Amino acid sequence: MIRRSISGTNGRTFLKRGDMLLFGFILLVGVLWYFWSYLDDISKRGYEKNLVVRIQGEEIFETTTPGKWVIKNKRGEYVTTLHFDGERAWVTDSHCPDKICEMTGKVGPGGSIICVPNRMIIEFKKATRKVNGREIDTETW
Amino acid sequence: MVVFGLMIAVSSVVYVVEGVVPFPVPGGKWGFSNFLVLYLSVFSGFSDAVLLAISKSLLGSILSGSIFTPGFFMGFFGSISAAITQSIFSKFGFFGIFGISLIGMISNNIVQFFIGSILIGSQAIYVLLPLVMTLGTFSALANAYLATQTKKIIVEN
Repeated sequence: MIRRSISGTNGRTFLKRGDMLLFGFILLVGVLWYFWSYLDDISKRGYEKNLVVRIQGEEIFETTTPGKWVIKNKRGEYVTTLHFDGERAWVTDSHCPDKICEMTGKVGPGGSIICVPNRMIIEFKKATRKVNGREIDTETW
Repeated sequence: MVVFGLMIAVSSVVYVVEGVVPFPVPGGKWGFSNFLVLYLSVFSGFSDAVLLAISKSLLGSILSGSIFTPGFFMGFFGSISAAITQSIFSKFGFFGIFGISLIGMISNNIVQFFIGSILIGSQAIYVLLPLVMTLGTFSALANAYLATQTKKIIVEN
C-alpha cells in the first residue's frame, strides 16, 4: 500500500517560496510576542500582585502576601508547595510525577506555572495599584 | 505492511526517547516522532498518516507509562490533527515538505493547547503557544529533512 504510492509521488520539493513566508511569519510572531511580554512585565513592576491557584478552573487559593504555602485540592489532598516573594512565585515540591511545575522556575505577572496532570495553574490576577490605601485599576493622571 | 510496522516501531521509540531530551519549555517535547507521520502525509496518504499518528501515540505512551494521562490526550489529538492538516495541504502545490511540516507543527500545537486549556480550565496556557511554535520551527525543519531522507531510503531499497 505504502510502497505503491511512494513510487508515484516523485518530485515533491523540499523548500518552496511559501515555506519561507510561513517560516518568517512564525518567527516574526514569536519575536513580537517576546517583545510584548517584556514590555508588559516592565509595566507591571511596582503593582500589587494577586497570586491565584486554580484547579480545573476553580480558584482554590489567592494571596498577595509573600510566604510559603501548601496547596491542597478540594478533597484536602496535597498538590504542591508554593513560594511567593511578593514579586515572583515558584514551586519547590509537587505530588505530580512529572515535576514540570518545579522545573518551570520563578514566574512573575504574565507568567504561569502549569501542572497538566493535576490540572492546576498558578498565575497572577490582573495587577492593581494602591493609592492612599484604595485599589485602582487605572489612572487618568 | 512490514514497512508500516517498522514505522510504528521507530515512531514509538522516538516518542519515548524524546521524552527525556531537554526542551526549553518544561513538559514540552521536540516532536521528532512526527517525522514519519509527515512522511506518510506527503508520500502516502491521509489514512496511513492518521493510522500511524494513532498507533505511535498509543504504543509510545504505553511504553513510557503515560497512557490516558492528560498529557497523552494532548499529544494524541495533536498528532492526529497534524496528520490531517499535513495530508490536506500536501494535495496543493503551494508548500514544499518543510512548509507542510510547519503547518503540521502549527495544528499540532494549537490542538494540544486547546485540549490542555480544557483540561486545566484556563486560557493562560496559550501564553506559551508563541514560544513553543517558535521552537517548533526547528523541529519542523528536522522532521522535513528526516521525512525526505526516509523517502530516499525506502525508494532505494
